[in-house]
Amino acid sequence: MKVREQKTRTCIRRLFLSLSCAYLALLVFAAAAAPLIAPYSPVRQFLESPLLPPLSEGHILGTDDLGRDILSRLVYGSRLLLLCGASVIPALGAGVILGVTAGLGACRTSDECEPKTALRFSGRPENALPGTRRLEPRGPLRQWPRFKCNRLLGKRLTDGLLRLVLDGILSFPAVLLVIVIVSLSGYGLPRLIIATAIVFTPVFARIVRAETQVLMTEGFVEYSRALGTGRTKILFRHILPNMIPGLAVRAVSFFPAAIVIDTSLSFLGLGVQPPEPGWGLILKDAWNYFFEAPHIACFSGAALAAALFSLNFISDALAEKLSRHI
Amino acid sequence: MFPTQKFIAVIAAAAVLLVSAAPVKAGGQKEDRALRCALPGNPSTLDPQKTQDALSFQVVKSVYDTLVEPDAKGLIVPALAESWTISGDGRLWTFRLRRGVSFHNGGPFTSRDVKATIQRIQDPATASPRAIEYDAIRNILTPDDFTVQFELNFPAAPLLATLASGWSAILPADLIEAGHDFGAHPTGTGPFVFEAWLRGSKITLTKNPAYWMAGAPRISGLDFRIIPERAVRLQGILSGQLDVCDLYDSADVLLLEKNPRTRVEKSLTSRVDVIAINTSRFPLSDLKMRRAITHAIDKQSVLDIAYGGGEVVGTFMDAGDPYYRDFTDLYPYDPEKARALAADYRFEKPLEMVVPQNYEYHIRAAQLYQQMLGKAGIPVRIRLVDWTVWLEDVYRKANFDLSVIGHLGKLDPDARLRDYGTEKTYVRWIQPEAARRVGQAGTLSGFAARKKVYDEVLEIMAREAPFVYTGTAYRYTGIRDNVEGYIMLPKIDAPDFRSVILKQEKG
Repeated sequence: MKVREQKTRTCIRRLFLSLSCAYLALLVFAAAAAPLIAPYSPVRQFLESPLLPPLSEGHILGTDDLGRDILSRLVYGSRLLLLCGASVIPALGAGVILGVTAGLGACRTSDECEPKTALRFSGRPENALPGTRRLEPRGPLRQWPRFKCNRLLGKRLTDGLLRLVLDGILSFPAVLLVIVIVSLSGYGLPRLIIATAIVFTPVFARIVRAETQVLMTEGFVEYSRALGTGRTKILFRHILPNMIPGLAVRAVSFFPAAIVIDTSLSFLGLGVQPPEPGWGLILKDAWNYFFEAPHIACFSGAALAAALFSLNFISDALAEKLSRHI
Repeated sequence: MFPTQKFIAVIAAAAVLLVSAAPVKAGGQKEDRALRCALPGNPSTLDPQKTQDALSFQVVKSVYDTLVEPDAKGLIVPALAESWTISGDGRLWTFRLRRGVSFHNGGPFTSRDVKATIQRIQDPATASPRAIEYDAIRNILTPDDFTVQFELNFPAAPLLATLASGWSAILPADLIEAGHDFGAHPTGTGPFVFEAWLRGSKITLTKNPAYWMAGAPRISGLDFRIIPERAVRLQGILSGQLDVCDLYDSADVLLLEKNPRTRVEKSLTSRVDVIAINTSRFPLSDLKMRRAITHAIDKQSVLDIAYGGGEVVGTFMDAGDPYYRDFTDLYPYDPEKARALAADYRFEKPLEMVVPQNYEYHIRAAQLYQQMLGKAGIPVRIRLVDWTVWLEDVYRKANFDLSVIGHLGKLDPDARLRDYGTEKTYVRWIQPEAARRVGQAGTLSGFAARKKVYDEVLEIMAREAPFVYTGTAYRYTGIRDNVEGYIMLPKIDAPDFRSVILKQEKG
C-alpha cells in the first residue's frame, strides 16, 4: 500500500515538474521571441474595438479597455516578468561579496581559522586528512592583533559593521522597504529592480557569511591553510565552489519572491509604468473592468499564478535533488 | 459567461451582512421612510466652516442653509435671504432675510446669527481653510432682525458665490457663543435635523417639519451609509438596500443600467479635464506647436474611453457653467493638420507627460494622448508621480512638459481663472491682457456685466491654448427606480435632497 502511494506521489510530482519546466521554457521562449510571437505591438491601441471578448477575430485573447491586444501584452510582458525575477542576480552578486567579506572578517580572531598558531598537527600528515579535525594538542595561542572598536560592533570590525547594516535592512518588511526606496527615488521598473536587489542582498549575504564560517572550519580548508595556501586561493578554490549548490537553490527560490514583490508594486502603480505591458499593471487595469471583461483579469492572473507555481515547484525539486546530492 | 454570477452572489451575501437595512415594506401605499444613500467614506467633520472635505458637504448641505444658494444650473438664487442689493460702488451689500425661519434647537433665525456665523469663520481661532474668501468683509451691520449689511474693503464679486457655498452655512448665534461642537452635532435651519453619527457606519438625519420651503422635504429622513468598498455599494443599490449611490466606475454604470429596478442619472461634473502645457519650454512656447497638439487630440474618444463619457469643451470652463462659452470649433480634431504643424519641429527627446498616479482615469487618458500625439509625430513619454510630487514638481515648480489633470470649478469663475495670464500659474502662460480682464471681472457685479468680460478671457485662453481643453466628464449616480427628484449640484459637489420623493417599489 505504502509503496504504491509513494509511487503515485512521485508520478504526480514528476508530472508537475515537467509541466512547470515546460511552462517556464514557454515563458523564456516568449520573452526571447516576443516580436515573432505577438501579433501586434503591446501598446498599439485599436480604439474602435475595446474590451473584446476572447476568441474575437484578430485578437485571440481579446482586447483591453484601450483596445490593446491582450495576447501581445502578455507575451511582451513576460520579458518584464523575467526581468523582475532577475533582480535576484545582482542581489546574489552583492550578497556573495558582502557575505564572504563578513564571514572572513568573523574568522579573523577565532582560533580555528588560524591553524598556523592555533593548531598543530601531531603525528604524520595523514592524520590531518580532509574531514578529520584534529584540535589536539593545542599549541600556545598567539593573539591576532585586536581592533579597537566599541562593544556594539563586537570585536570584529568588518563583520560587525556589515552585520549591523544588513540586519538593519532585514529588520524591515521587504515590501515596505521596496516601497520606501521606490517612492524616494521615483517610480519605474529599473528603480524597482534595484530596490528589490537591495532588499534581497542581506538575505544572501547572511547565508554566504554563515557558509563561509562553516567552510573555514572544515578540515580540507584547515589542511590547505596549514600547507600555507593564501587566503584568496582558498576562497576561490574551496569556499566559493562549495557554496554554489546551496546558493543556487536559494537564488531560484527567491526568484518567485522577487516577481511577487515587483508585480504587486506594479499593481499599485509604483513599478512598471503605463503603457508598458507589465503583468501587474495589466492585472490592475483588468481589475477596473472585472464585471465587464473578466477574461482580462483571468488570463493575466492565471499566467502570473502559473509562472509563480512553476518557479516554486522547480526550486523545491532543485532543493531536494541538491540536498540529496550534498 | 465567466464566474461573474458566482462572484456577484458572494459579494451580495457580503453586502447583505454589511449593509444592515430597514426592511422594505412590500406593497405599502406610500413609502414614508428615510432615503438610504451611500457615502464612500467617513466625513472628517460635520462642521462646515472647518473643512474642505466633499463628503462633509454632501451630508451637511441637508442640515444647514446658506443666505443664497446655487440652483441646478449653477446660478445663485435666494435662500435664507429673500433678496439682496449691492450699492453702486459695490462696497455695501444688503440682504433681506426670510422671516419665520427657526433653527433645529427652536431658536428663531435673525440677522444676529448671520453676523455671528461670518465672524466665526473670520476668527483665526476657527482656523477655517476658507477664511481667506471672507477677507473682503470689513464690517457686518444688523440694522434690524431681518436685515444684514456687509461693508466691504473693496468690490468683490466672488463674495456672492462664497456666501452660497457650503462653508457659509448659517449657524445659531447662541450655540456659537456657547462653544457648541458643530463638528459632532450640527445644528442649523436645514431641511433635515441631525440625529446621530455612528463613526464609520452611518449618519442619520430626520425630516425638519418646520422647514421654510413649502412642501419640502418630502421624505421622512436621510440615512447615509458609510461604505468604502465599491463592490458592496454596488450590490447594495442592485439589491435595494440603498436608494442612491455615486458611481465612480464606468463598469458599474453598465451593470446598473441593465438592472430593471435601477437607473443611472448622469450630470456634468464641475471639472475641466486638460492636458496642461508648460508654455515656458520650447517648442511648447510656440502657439503653432500647441495648436498641433490640440488638433491631434480626439477629445470625444478620450472622454468616452478614459473618463466614462462627457462633453467636449474648447476653453477653460466646464461645460455646465453659466459662464461657459463654446469654442470647440476653433481647433477641432484634425490629425492631418496636426502632423503638418508638428512637422516643423524636431524632437531630440520625447516630451514628458507627467501624470498623478492616484487618478486611474488620467492615466488611461495619458495613454490615449500618447498614441494620438505619436501619430501626429510628437513623441511623448509618460511619467507617473505621486500626488504630493505632482503638487510640488508640476503645480508649484512647473517642472514638466505636459501633464494630464482635471481642474475643478467652484461656484464663481474667479476661483478657476484667477492668476491666469500671469507667471503664477503652473502652465507659465503670460498674457497681460487676459490677466487684466480677470482682475477687472473680479470687481464687477452683476452676471451680465461679468460674463461679458469673462467671455473675452475665455476666448483668449481658447485661442492661445495653454491647455488642451479635453472636456467635462459626466458624474454618474445610481438611483433606485422609486426615487424621484434627486438633484446633484456639481459646483458645490453636493446633492440636494429637498425635492426627493420616494414612491413604492413596483412588484
